[in-house]
Amino acid sequence: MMKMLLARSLCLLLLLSCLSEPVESRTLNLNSCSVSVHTTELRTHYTDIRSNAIEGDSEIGVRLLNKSLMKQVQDGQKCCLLRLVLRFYVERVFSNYASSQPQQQRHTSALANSFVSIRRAIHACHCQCVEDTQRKIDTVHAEFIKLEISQAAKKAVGELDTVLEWMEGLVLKSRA
Amino acid sequence: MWTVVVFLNILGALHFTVSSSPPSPINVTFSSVDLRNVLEWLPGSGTLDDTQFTVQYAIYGDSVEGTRQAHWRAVPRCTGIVRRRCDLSNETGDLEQGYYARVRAVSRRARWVRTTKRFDPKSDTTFGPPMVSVEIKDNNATITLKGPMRYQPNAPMVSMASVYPDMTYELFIEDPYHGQIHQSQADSSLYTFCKMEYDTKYCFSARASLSSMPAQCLLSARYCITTPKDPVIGQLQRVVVGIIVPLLCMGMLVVVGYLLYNYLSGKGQKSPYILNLPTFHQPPLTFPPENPKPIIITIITIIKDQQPESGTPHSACPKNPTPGYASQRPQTPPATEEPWDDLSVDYGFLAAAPKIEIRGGNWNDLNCPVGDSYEKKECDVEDDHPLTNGQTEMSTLIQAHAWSLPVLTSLVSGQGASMGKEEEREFPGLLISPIPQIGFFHIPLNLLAKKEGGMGEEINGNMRVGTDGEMDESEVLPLLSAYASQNTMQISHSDQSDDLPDDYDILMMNTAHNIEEEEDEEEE
Repeated sequence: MMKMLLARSLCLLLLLSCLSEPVESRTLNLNSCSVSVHTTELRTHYTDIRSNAIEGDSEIGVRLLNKSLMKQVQDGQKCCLLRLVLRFYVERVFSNYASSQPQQQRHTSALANSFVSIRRAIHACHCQCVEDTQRKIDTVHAEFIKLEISQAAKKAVGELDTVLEWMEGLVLKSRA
Repeated sequence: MWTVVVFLNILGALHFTVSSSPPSPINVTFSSVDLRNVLEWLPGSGTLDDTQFTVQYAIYGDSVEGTRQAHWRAVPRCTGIVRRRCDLSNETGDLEQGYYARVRAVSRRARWVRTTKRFDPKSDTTFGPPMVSVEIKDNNATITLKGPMRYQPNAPMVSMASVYPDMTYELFIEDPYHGQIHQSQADSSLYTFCKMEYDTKYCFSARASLSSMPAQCLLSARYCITTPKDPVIGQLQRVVVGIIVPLLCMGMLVVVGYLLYNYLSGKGQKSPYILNLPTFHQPPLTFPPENPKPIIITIITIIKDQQPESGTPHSACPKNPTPGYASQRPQTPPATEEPWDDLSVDYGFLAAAPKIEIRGGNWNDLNCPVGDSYEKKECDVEDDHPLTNGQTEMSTLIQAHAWSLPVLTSLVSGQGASMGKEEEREFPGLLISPIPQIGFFHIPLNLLAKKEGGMGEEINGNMRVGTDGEMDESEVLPLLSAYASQNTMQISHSDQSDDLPDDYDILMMNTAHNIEEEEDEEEE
């Protein structure tokens, strides 16, 4: 009986390792710090929850994460901005984002866990944040609290593609 | 009065309901292929065909100053249109933004219908099919992939790869004959596919592929091409056509020429038998008496003898009608001498020099002189039958001489000895009187008398052979013909001699039966 359990667990581990292997890991170069990010995996999870998040967004005149905000950041502040954005999503958005469908919840959890792991990795980089960057994130928070909390969470999740695209841009840059 | 008021109220209500419910469009969505972003909708139920629609669009996050309300922008070319689609590629050209659009029928009280989802052109567009062109060189294919091209109304066409740097191609190479589909990733627009089989149909199709995000990509049409034939096979075919076919033609020419040559030169043609005959067909009457012709009569006597019954050959020997031989000999000379008296023609003499060859027996030593001791000869023949135990062929060469002088004609008579009691074995004997020879007349006789019923066989018109008696087992009868004068008395006792031509005499090979009859007559 014990042997059976052992064999099964071994098989499960092998299966998991096989499944996890083909996932490509990309490295984000943030100044002196490098973080590995599974951007494709993040995309996959986000694609499944995106439409659900967008459909519930009725405040089309309000945008939390402006693309110009993400792109006009200085090179030295990317590490800082990414760390602040991750903190915003982990502490404010995912905790308030509720989905009725289990499939959506699973993907949301996966995304949240990925963000937590990336945030932990970046935490070791000891990014230095300037005041301008901190102010930009403060405006995002300000807009967020103006909305109803569940609406705001949906809007923030619906804007995750901006974050992902920015991260992918960082990966491509670091590649080149 | 009240009824009028009620009627007016009812009319007003009807008017209100009709005018206040213009049908709203449904299914307002963006459809985008290669960043050609078109807003499409369906008219609601009850919408008239000439209903006009108006389209507005908004950028996500763009709000009216001081408020949270979205800033809706009018689209001049899509205001009051009857058609149910509006191309918003220009308005939605900024790929970094998200867009919304709304549509309503042109009516005072019509309601706007907005797209339920935000339209992000970059992530929502569909990749069209790329253009595939294939060049075949030997058995390698170079596939050139182009596009898909981004749709821009007022700008030069650029590839979608300029918008999506990580765009690649998925290439499908299908081998319909083998049912295989080879799938590969083509990073660049040029792809080389090697190791293709000769004379095989290949179908190529491709579609764009994005690694960074899931996107819908349309598969191109299949571009089918057949690889050229194997040059080795072509050379082989050329060799076959160039060498073997001429060889065949030459062979046929040679055969035809050979046949023609044979036909024209007359080779291989047999002249008729009648033309190849020896010269003795000349009528003997024309022979001058001074030029006697030698006559060589070859008599082949084939005695096919079977084992006599009861295995008593020795006993048969003394039983042979020896008196028959003795009596026959004195019989014939008078028969021949008689006509001589009346003859005015000089020749008609027959002489025979018998040579007897006996195969398969001990007869080589026994050259019995013909006419000397017939009894002994016959006895010897009978004695050796058990030794030969089968077929014994006796070949007797008889030289018959035509003698110009009226000499006594020799006697040639065939005698048959009945070997068996019941079977009528014909055992011909030869009686030729050896007389000096002057002329030779060669008569080859190769007679295998297989005829039954005593039919006479005419050879060259000079010889008539009568074989009498039954020949059940194809007994071979020696035939002897002699040349005799016209008036020579016929020796033969058979009735068939009456049918003989006038010029020839014949020596009949008589069956034993006839001989016995003769003997009987003589005895009488």
